[in-house]
Amino acid sequence: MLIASPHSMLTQTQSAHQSMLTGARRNMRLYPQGDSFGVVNTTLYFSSYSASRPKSLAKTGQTLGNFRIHNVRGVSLRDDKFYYNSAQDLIEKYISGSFLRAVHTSESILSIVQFGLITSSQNFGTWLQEALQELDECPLYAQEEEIDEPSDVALTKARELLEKVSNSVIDRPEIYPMQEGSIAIDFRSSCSKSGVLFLIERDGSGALYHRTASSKGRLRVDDAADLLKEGGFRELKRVGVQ
Amino acid sequence: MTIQIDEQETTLFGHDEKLGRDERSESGAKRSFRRLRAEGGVRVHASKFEPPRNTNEISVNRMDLASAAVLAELGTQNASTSGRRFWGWYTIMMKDVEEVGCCVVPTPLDGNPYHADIVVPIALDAEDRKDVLREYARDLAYHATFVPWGEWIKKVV
Repeated sequence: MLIASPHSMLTQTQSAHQSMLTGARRNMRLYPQGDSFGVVNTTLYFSSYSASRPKSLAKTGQTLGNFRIHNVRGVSLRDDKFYYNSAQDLIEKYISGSFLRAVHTSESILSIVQFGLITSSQNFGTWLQEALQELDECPLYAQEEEIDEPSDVALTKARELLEKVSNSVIDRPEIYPMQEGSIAIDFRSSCSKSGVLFLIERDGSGALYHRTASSKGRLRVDDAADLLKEGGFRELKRVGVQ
Repeated sequence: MTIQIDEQETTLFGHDEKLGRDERSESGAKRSFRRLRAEGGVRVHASKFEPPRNTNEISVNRMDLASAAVLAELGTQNASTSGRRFWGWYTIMMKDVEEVGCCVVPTPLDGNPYHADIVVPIALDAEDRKDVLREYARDLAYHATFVPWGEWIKKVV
């Protein structure tokens, strides 16, 4: 029977997970300080995912129907009753191992998402807070650059654009002031010299400049709020910003 | 500081010559450095290559004609005249400037024989001048990288 708490099982799984992330794949197989890998691997496969290790360790070669437990340490067979209990114990451990492997796999997938290797809806907008902080720094940044500070209208419209675009774009833009009080929201494709540069002008109008290796163009609108629907989303997708 | 340089050197440009534009903004320098440290590359802001109003010229130094220490001293002197600090350079290769469509002319100054200007090919009275300058600034920035200078990088979190 399983006697360990779910907490201890998860801790064990998390430990194995950490090993995988650091590249120690073999360690993930469990307890490297045990016997030689070839001999104990099967045993460790079961015991590592179980709550407790059997106290009695002996090699056996018995069968139960089609289930052969040849060379599995941790199972001691002396009579029918004991044989039955051990097999049940083994099966239960195996089932619990399946559950933990499922938990383990879920955690691994979550980590891959966090590393950006696959996409998740949770990734959208993760950069928004950082981008808004850069936006707040724009007036000071403009002073340092000795250029015109952005207006409140421009800051507000830039904020609205960032909030809107963050719902569907994973790549984080750079936010900085440009001459004449403009605010740049600069998206770049990570794989090439391509990108879309949104500019929120001091009077609240807007422009975008898109560029790929083989093409470039621009768009101007009277209200920066129209930049995304007038072509911003389309150009972001076209240049490879995700 | 007394600087002597061969006059011929100041007139000939190499295709692989490196040009550097001073960074005098703390915010800009720290942002660039953090990105450089975290990702191994920098997204240079297009604003770094915007020419001042009513000109088409972007001031740079020719990085291959002097040691980094000499150029940093020049940068520090120039920044201090406007009450600012010198944080490093945004560098770009000559061939990349040409690829973008700009040209570079040597414009040695008193006390700075390494000075040159990137010239953006747009008329001063062109109707779309503002947009064109921004497009060139962005294109130059795409090819540039950041080279920090000084002890300040040890204190950046």
